[in-house]
Parts: sequence; C-alpha cells; structure tokens
Amino acid sequence: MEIPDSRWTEDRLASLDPPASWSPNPARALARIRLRQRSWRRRIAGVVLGAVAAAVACFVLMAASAPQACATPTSCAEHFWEKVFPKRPAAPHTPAVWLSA
Amino acid sequence: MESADQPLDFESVFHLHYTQIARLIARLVRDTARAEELAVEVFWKYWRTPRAQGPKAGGWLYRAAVRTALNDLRAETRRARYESLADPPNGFPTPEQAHAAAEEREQVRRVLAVLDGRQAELLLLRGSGLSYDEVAAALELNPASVGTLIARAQQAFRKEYLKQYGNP
Repeated sequence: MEIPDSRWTEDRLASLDPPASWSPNPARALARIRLRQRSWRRRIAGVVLGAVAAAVACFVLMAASAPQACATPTSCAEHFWEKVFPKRPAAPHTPAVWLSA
Repeated sequence: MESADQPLDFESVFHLHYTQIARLIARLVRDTARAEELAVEVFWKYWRTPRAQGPKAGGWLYRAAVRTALNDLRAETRRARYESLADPPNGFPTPEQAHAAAEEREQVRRVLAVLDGRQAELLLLRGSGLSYDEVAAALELNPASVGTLIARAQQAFRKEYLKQYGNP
C-alpha cells in the first residue's frame, strides 16, 4: 500500500529538525536588538535635531537679510510669509464685449 | 498564538515567540548561528513595523520568519549552483548515517526552495507544529481551506522530490 502524501511529506520534513542539543539564546538576541534600537533612536534623534537646526539657521539668515522688516515680530512674520507665498498679480480685466464676441 | 486579544509589549512578544521563530528558521538554514541572526532580523523588522504590533503579532512573526528563511535558502541555493558547492559541507568527518541524514536534509531544502512560495510556507508552518487555525492566521488564509491547501502542498512536494531524486 502506498504511503499517503501527508505521512510521506512529514517524514521528509522531519529531517529538517534542528539538532536536539541546540537551543536558541534569547538573551543574546535581545541584547543585539536593544543595541540596534539604541543606535536607531540615536540616528532618528540626529535627523530631527538636524532638521530643527536647519530650520533655525534658515530663519536666522532670513531675519539677518531683512533687518528692517524684522523690526517687530508681526512685520517679520508677514515679510517671510510674503517671501514664501508671494501674492499673485491680479488677472488682467477682460472686457465683456470680447467674451460675447 | 496569543492568549489574550490585547497587544503585548515588544519584550513580552519576544520572549513568547523567539525560541519558536529561531527553531522554525533553523529548519531551513544550515547554520544555527545564521538562524539566530535571521530571527533577530525578524524581530527587528517587527519592532519597526507598528501595524504588525497588535493581537495578530504571532501570525505576523511566523509569516515573516518563514519568508525570511525561504529567501535565505533560495539565495544560498543560487549561490551553491553558481559556485558548484551544492554538496553538503565536508569540513568535518561524519559517520555514514550522519552523512546520509545531512544529504536528505539538503535534498528537502532544495525541493522547498523550488516549490511555490505559498506551498513551502504552508508545509514549514504545519511542520513546525502549528495548528490549521494558527497556519491560517499566520498566512492570512481562510481556515476552512487550509486543509485542502496543505494537502495540495504535500502532493506538490512529493511530486517535486520524486522528480529530482527518485524514490528515497
């Protein structure tokens, strides 16, 4: 009688069992993960700090380039807002006759 | 896999699953040290994937582990094919019986490496002692169809094995 596929496959796959003498070392693995977590957090903190430092540097440079506009905090904010989002020139007026033509 | 439905913190999940995950990977990876390395890699990915950290963390880990191990096995099989190093390592003398067992292990691994990914995953998870429900949860399958899928995978495995190596 032929052995069913399930039994046959299980027999073959049983050969993959790791050696009985071996047992994984969770403490060492966890220590390695903690080390990577620390280094990952340091890297993220570095990126965030870098971004904040770059933003502050940009602000200082912009303020230094327009000292008069930055005489008061409100005018300074308005000045930068207009620099970043300049007002669009108004669209030229189209006479109604052109539209009806 | 998880006893409660609420998510556990990383260390609890780690302690709950690490040994099983490392042993699952070791079934496919020749070197146990490499298996532990890959298991660490799986938990590292888990830590960095917030959507995996929930009540289904166990399923995610098993799925990630079996895929990581299969990828490593396929890469190793390709390397061995190119470098003509497909024979088991002969760095240490082994008795005849141990040699035959190692050879069979290599043959099983090679067959799993060429089998359809989903079928190999099913066989490995089932072979690692997971129940049908756990296999379904890990691979996000309908529990009602797991039995049929496993039966097909076993059939495909046997066919491929016999095609490559004949009757053992």
